[in-house]
Amino acid sequence: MKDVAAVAGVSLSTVSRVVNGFPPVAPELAAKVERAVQVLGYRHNHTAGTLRRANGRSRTLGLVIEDVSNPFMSAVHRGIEEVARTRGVITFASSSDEDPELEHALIEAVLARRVDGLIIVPTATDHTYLLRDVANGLGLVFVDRPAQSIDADSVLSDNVGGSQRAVEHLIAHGHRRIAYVGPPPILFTSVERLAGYRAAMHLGGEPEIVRHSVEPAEVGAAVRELLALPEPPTALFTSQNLVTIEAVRALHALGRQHEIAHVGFDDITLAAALDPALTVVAQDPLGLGRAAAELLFSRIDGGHGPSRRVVLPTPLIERGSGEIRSGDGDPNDARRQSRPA
Amino acid sequence: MKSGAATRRPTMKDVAAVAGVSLATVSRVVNDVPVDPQLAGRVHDAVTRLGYRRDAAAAGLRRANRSSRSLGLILDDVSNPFFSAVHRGIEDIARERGVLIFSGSSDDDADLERDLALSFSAHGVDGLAVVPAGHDHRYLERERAAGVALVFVDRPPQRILADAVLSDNVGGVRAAVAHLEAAGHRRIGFLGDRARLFTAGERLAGFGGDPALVRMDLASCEAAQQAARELLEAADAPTALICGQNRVTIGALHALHALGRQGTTALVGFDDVALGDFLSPGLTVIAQDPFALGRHAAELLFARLEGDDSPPRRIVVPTRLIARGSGEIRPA
Repeated sequence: MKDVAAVAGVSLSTVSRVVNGFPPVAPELAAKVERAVQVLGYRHNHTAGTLRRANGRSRTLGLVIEDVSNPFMSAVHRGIEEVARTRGVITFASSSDEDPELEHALIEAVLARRVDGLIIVPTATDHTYLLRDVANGLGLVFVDRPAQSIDADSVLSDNVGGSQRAVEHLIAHGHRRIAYVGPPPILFTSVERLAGYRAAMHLGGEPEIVRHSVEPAEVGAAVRELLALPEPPTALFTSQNLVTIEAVRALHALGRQHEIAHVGFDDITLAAALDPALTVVAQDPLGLGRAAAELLFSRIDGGHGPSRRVVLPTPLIERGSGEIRSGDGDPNDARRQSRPA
Repeated sequence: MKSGAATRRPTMKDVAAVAGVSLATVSRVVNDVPVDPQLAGRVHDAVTRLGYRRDAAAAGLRRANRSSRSLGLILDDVSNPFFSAVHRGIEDIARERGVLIFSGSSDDDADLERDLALSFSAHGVDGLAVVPAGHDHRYLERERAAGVALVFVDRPPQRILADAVLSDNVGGVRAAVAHLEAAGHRRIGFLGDRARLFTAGERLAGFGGDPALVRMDLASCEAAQQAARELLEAADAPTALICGQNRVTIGALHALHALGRQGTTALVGFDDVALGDFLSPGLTVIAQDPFALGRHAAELLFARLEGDDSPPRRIVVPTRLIARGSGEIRPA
């Protein structure tokens, strides 16, 4: 820094102010310093800067998501980045692989690197170990699933409402026997989506057909079992993107994709190119990420007050598969369809 | 720029005061140097009470190699499935070593790439993995001289020599041409991305067919659809198409469906598309292996950080043709 000051012909404190971005200096002086920095190739030691900076902020965030390569999760990451970049804040991104112990280890690792805030798509149910960090000024936001053991801000999709509208949409197309296929209701999102299905079926006075402990690898068998029932469903609601993909695969393999209506929760690539194109309840992962980052920065900027919960809407996108009417290709149902609603 | 309210993050001094021991004792306990168990107990109590956390960067500065146990990764876009798979490949190797990754998107903008690289470097990363957007990487020479390891992914560096990990773009398209010729095609069209991109240029080079049947600079799905339509509606239309990129493939698929030619014109796309096997006919693709690109990049970085000073290397990851139907349609 001394060398920079000498070349720029300014004081050491001016260089320090320019390099740290605070407090402001005259633009003319700043330009001199920046030229000297370029000439000398001076590299600011950020660690030293952090230690010395009065407020102790590092301008870094930690992000722990299920998998950085999952399209939903990577869009959340992108949304966070779009907000963080306007503040010159950079992000450590890590995958927890739905492993609570790995999640804990990753969180410890990013905290040891002095991040200003942490955004988590939680896998573990206990985050009380973060209480002291939050009291000490760490920003903390949960995304996609709320905090369970600790009072913190969260940003969620409207899982109940989206599922309920999807099932009501199927009922409105004449379906009475609508099957729910989804993963075990352990994760918050699965519990909520099942609740949305149940609410719509209850309001419509329809009997529930629930296959709720289906992992993606078992979806094909579950769909075949359902369609072989004496009173088979005429429509499917699949509650998660990987389950949806496997259900599409199964319907195509059986050649029933034009008869059995299908709505999936969460959009998938190429959904529009399928035949029939897939009707989905879309989430807004970019919006989840943006909202999470905004909440986080409002806390880092000193925002107090009770924790907040932001819920983003989940619109239904009609593309074809969810608009197949009950009885299309099924003479028994065609007769029933002529009944007054 | 706002830098936020002050933290109340406890320091080692606070721990020493609460534990009633010296700073040196706290330092020994935190860094796992044996001390009297009774003193260690007091330090641990104070650490828990205050929520003190070890500072990895400060610990790194004390290490002989001054490692921060972090890398910087610059992608086109963190949410693009291809690049997020590269990210995952790097993470899989870095995780085994307790190394964390800063990642960011350049949005294919040279200035953003440079800003990110310098910002990561200012935060003390040990190495940088870069999917380059810019055409002059000499600005990284200083970082390298300061000890930051460099590797380029998907596209090579320009105006500096450095390690790079690339897909076999030329070989992949050559394999597609050979596959189509074996099915009897003699008039094959090529639809490509922006020609200024390294990958687009390489894939065109692999094509090497009739220039009259080449359309480049198709930056959107709509542009690709339009170009495919024009080629297919011309007299003497090609009987097969090779698409040099995902978006281009999807645009061409739309054109084939609109013309009702999806069952009669052959199509091979570069890069796999999720659910490509459900289309009718299934989509034949030249698949890349982005996870392997990421793993190789991380291995090169760690080799450099561990002292490998051999000349810059270029690793070419093979591509694989997956036949699913669209590329096996024979000419009428």
